[in-house]
Amino acid sequence: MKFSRPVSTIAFAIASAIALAMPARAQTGVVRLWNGPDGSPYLSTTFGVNPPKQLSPEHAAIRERLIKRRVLEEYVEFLSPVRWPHALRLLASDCSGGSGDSTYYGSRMYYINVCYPFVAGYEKAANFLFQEQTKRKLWTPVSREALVAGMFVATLLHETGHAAFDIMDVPVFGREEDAADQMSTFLALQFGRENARTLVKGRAYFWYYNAAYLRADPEIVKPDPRNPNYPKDPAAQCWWDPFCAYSDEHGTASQRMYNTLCIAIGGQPDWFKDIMDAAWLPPDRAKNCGAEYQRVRTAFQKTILPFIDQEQMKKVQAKSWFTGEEQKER
Amino acid sequence: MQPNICAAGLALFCSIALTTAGSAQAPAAPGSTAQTQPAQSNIKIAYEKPTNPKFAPIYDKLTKLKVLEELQAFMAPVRLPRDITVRVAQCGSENISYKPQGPATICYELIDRIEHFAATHTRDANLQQLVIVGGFVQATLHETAHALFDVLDVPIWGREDDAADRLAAAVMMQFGDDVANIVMFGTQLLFRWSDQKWQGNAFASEVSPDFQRYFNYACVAVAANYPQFGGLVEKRVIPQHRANRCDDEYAQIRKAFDLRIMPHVDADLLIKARATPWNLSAAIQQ
Repeated sequence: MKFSRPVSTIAFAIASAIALAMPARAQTGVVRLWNGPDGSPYLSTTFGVNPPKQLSPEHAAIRERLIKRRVLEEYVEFLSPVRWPHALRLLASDCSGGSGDSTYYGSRMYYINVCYPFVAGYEKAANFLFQEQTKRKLWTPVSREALVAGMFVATLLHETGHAAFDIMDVPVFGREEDAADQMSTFLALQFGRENARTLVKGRAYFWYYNAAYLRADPEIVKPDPRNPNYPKDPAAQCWWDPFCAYSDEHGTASQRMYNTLCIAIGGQPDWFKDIMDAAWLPPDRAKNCGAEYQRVRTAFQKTILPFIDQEQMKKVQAKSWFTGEEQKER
Repeated sequence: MQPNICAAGLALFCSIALTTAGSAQAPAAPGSTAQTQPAQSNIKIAYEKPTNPKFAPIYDKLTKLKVLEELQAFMAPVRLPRDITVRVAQCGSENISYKPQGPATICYELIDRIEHFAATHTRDANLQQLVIVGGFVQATLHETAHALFDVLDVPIWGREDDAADRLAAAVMMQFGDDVANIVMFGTQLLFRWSDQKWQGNAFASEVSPDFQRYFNYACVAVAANYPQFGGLVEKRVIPQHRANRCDDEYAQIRKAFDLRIMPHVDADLLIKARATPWNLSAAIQQ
């Protein structure tokens, strides 16, 4: 998700806050935490909503878990090899306070905002899939902790892709949302087998959950407007319409799952042999996944790699970023 | 919004559109090729003779009316490290994927399918022609975009087929209004009228669903020429959430073009190409 509205309450809120927090000399080239009114990058309120709303008990608990796990601090460290032309800022908040809020990159103001409601969504999806695997065979077993961690970090990598395209002025010929998905999966494969499996499983299963259980793919037949669930809001009706639903700049949930699986088996076929064994990727698509991966690799080498400090990258690659629980396969 | 394509200078395409009924002409000898290769252009073109008599009328019209020659002239400002061949050929299927260093191929089977598709979706001859024109030019620009990416070693973020669509859409809009509007409108109808039903592992395809492609083209059209295509937003065919992003999407494609392709374009020739009235009917009259 990428927000690029030039004038908004959010932009104003950030601009004001950055102005207050700005050191005498601007620091570029590093990722920074954006600290809220209480000095923490984990805001205890909504963001860009005036007046700010306090967190629900559920979201307050999520905030506490993120703080304890030091996710933003570790992500700053993870991104330390990248020499950003403009500093990228990270924060977590309740976003607009809506249940559908998803983590996003704010262009022009160069920040990634992790939304507590989206984390709640991962946790719900992970709980469901963990239970469901006893009834329905997945392509590989899952553990709840690994799913949550994989979904969370894969989304951060996706938003980092948007940030890189924007801040590094990267030419993007394809659809940017697909490009950010490619970035997420490509990066997932650069940190060893265990990290890669946590990230790819998290990302692929998140979209599988959306497609298979939340029925997020476009409908084939327009639902009856007399259906009690049929939305009254015209914007929401679009998602129920078999034509309009394709207007989204994102791929469909199933497309995003298949794209993830394809880059994974294209880049590391041995690590993800179980995807092919379970026949989750049709052979017609699978046969070109090696070439798809190479295309992404070439794009990365030409457009992103020049911004990466190779020595620092080796240190980051050598570190294990997930805990043992977060790497558990089942 | 139904421009009269014949009046707008695309009479050559009108003639192509009217070949569906077939002609009594025998197919050309298989394996032979009609081609024109201006010495200064890196774009080579070829009309391969189909072996299937069903496609003979299409071959005859294309060669007579010099459709690819028009594209070749339009692309003349592009300076490439090696030549690109754009050909029309009998493929055995509607599409064949572009292979590195290979020709960009538009299949007779695809043109034939578009002609039948148009005929089954409308009895309005003018609309049929729009779809055929749009479909053929879109396919040609799309396949040529794949070849350009390959020859210029362009880094591609996003799915390559979508990238080829986005470049094709942006190039379409560089023709003068009459031609651009016809080609873009015809392309949109082709994808809008699609009867594809996507579900399950159909979404695994490398190619995006037709409706998705419709919105990708429409978004570029709205951003590139709001006076002509803004109605798509005002009538909410393109919903507001997507319409809000179309300017950024088009700017992104133009930026990518400027960075990766423009350095290979002769600026003086480009100005001449853009100033040329692409009155394709003149080709017929000659």
